[in-house]
Amino acid sequence: MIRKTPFLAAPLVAATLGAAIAATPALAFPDKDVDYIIPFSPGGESDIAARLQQPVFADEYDHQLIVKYQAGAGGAQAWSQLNSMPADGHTIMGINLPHVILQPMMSSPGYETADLTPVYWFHYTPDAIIVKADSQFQTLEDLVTFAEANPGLVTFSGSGSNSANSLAKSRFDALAGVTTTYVPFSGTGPSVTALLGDQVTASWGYSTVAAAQGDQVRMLAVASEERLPLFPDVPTFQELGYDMTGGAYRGVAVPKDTPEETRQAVSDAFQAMNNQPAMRKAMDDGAFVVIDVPYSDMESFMSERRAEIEEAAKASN
Amino acid sequence: MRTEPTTPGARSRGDLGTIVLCVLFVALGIWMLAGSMAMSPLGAVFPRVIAGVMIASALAILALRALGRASPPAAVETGSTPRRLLLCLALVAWAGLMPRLGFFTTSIVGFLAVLAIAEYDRWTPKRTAAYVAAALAMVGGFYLLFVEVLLVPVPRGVLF
Amino acid sequence: MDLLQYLAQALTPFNLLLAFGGVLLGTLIGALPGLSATMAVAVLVPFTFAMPPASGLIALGAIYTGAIYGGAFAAILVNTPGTPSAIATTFDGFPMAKRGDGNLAVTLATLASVVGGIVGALALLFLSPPLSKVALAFGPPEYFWLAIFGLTLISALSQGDTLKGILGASFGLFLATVGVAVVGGDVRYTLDQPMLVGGFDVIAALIGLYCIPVVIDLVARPDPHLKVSVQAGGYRLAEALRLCVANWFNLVRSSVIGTVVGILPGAGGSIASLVSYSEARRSSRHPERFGKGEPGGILATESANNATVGGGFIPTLVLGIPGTPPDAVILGALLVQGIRTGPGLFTGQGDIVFTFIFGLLIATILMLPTGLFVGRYAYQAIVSIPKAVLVPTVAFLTIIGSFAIHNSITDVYTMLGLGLIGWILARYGFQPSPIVLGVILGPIAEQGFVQAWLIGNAQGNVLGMFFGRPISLAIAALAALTLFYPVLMDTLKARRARRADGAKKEPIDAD
Repeated sequence: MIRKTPFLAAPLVAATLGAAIAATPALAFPDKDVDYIIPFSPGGESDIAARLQQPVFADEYDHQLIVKYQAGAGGAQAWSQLNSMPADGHTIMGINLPHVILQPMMSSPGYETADLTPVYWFHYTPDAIIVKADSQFQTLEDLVTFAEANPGLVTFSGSGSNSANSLAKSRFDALAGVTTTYVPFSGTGPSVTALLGDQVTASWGYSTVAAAQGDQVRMLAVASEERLPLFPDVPTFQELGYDMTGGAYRGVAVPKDTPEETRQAVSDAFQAMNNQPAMRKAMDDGAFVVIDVPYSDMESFMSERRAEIEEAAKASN
Repeated sequence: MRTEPTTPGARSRGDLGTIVLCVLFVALGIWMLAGSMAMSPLGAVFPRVIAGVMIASALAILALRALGRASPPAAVETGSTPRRLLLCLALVAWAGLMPRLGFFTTSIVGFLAVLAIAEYDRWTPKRTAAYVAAALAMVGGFYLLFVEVLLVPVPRGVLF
Repeated sequence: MDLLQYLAQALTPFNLLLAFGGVLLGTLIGALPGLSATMAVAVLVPFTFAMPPASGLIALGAIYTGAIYGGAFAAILVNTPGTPSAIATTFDGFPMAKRGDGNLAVTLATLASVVGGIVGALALLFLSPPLSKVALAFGPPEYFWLAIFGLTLISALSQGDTLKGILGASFGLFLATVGVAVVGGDVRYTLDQPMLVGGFDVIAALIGLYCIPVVIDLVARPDPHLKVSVQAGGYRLAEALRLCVANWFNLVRSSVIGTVVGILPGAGGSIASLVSYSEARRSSRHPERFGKGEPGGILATESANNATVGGGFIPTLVLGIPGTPPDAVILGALLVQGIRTGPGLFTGQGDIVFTFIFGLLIATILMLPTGLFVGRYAYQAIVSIPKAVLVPTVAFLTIIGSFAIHNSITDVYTMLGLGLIGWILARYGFQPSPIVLGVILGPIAEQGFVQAWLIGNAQGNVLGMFFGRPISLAIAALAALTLFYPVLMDTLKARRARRADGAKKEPIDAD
């Protein structure tokens, strides 16, 4: 049986072997394998994050995280069904911002933001402006100066309408006082292809895109609070005078009937995984920014994000 | 209105069906156009073009028919219509009851129901036993493949 | 030489075993409708973490290529394309199976898949860096024209009644607009049903439109599903080889088309096989035989879709951009293993990449014995199983298969709903293929159009965007040629016929 097969020898597990694990949850979580539903197709950032967590989880608890996919409607298909799933903590689901705030704001995806119960946010991928390596724009200032002189001429590829990328574009346009053209593509892959093929001037993406494309591209600025270890030479937007941090946040949610103690236990488990040095390193290498928003901080975190997103969405209309 | 077909029965039924379908397509096209009014300009371009093509081609088919230049009729359907309709019903019930009754139960019942609809020979005890065994083997085998190997979370429902 | 050393690494018993097992498993999964190559690869990813990176990649690549090939079985034997790549295989595969040539069709599909797979893998081995430029040369207007080119196939697919074909295609295009628009974000035609916000799934639509009418008509008559030819049993390998030799140019052309289309992220196997089918039909001396069981049709589609496997890996490995959805999964697996793709991969980690490419090549060659073996049993199973058991088995597979696409009951309803509509439409001469073409090509055409318009508008040159780019113009010209070629040929033929007195017209079959 596949699900009983223990994970072996993935490089980062090898690195964590021997790392003493103090966190032993007092409650019955996990007392069997945990279904971890990813509301997107395999191969995306949410999937990669889950794949990195899988071996660490198996290593810490004697049970598996079983990754299952339930893609559709940009995640809405799965989120709208979350509350009808078993609420014993052994069914958890990946959850993403700004998606779960934007979708109910823009259309009726079958759930409300308040219906979802996020219990932990473990990382985010900061928004970033990326140009091709041979682009004439060396710095963000070059690009802004050009955009000021030629309103509308600068085209940005990005993934989807009403998405993290389109939101970042409107936020930045408002902050810099420029007008640019946003060209939505059906995903990060096509958006980057358009950039590399010189179809657009620049691209709104995430730091992870720049990490994956290596020296084919240049990141002009990144919306993290501090410079990323992988890109010590890339300034943050804040350094350059634009008050812009954030991007796409990823976490886990549970069905709403899950008892309080179990929610806390799931939160603790993800905290423990995030604390692993190997996990931190894998995240740094992929240009993810690790954050720790446990269940206890959920309310304030969510309302901050909501205010931020509502403001940006207003700016784009 | 239209020329009398040479083989009255089948042809006029085929004609009537085509006419009804074309009228429905025109209605769908009009509904698409109406719906596109509320969309952003970029979101409305394609629906409008598609609606235009749909209405135009449906009207063209109707016009050709009125002029008596109908295309050759579709192949005349043979065989048992009651069985066809029963099968449609069975499939709809199968899919509809699955989330409520549970995947495995519904599939066994659905499998046997469709099997009965497709069976033309006489039911002997031996044959019945073989069919029930086949149903259990097929549904059970694929159930294990999907649930245990491919990790598909099938609906459990009240039974299982 | 370095390359030979990598070949030797790919030939270790462990890697050979993985390649063989991967192809076998992939073929079986691909043969089941609804189980896609993406899913097969995703399920197997965790196992590869325990293997050396090159071996893991070989296993994934073998499953992937096997799954693309396996789609041909369902397409030929039950008229159900297991994956979108196999749609065009149903056009001639199922008619062949119906008239008793199912075993020949399966053998042809196997040979064509092997040829296509090898061409794609060789392109990956020798031409990756230059070919990756193709992916970048295709911008929004090119995708728009490519989709339009695909849509011109309607005139070929709706023999006898082009108007009904166009009407069917516009219905398919309508289905494709339902849901949230990628470009613009409008919520279209959802009737306020959350279920419809995600739109209709292509694979669910495919299973429904092709398979449900077949199942419904199966129960109406007691005679067996497929005819069995008494005089020609076995693999019919010699006959198939002869056909391959006679069609060698078709095979090569389709493999090249498949490789190139595979390189384009956002196009994929369905477009590759449709385009090569269209080209095979257009350049054939007997275009009227296509759609009625012409072996050349199967050779074109199956070589093209397996060539996309190698082609798709080119942008994946060179640019870090997945060429196809299964490539995205494999790319994710590479990242988790700590391997960074991109231009440096071939030079920096050449041992892994070249060992993998050789592994893929070996897996493709192993597909020949595996495929013939599996194909023979699949064929025998389908013809010897009592009809009363076959029908519920196929029905069961359509339901569980469409459920498994997204693990969602919504797709089952989509499948069944469209299947019943498709059955009614088919009764009155509306074929399923134009509808499916609309569903698949609609989003590509629309996104390409709107993106090109946005970019053109920003640069103040919308017309230049659509008509001022050489690749666009070439594709547009091909589309026009496909559309008007039959008319042109008919006119010429008619003129010649009038001259040569008693010539009679080709009978039109509105099957």
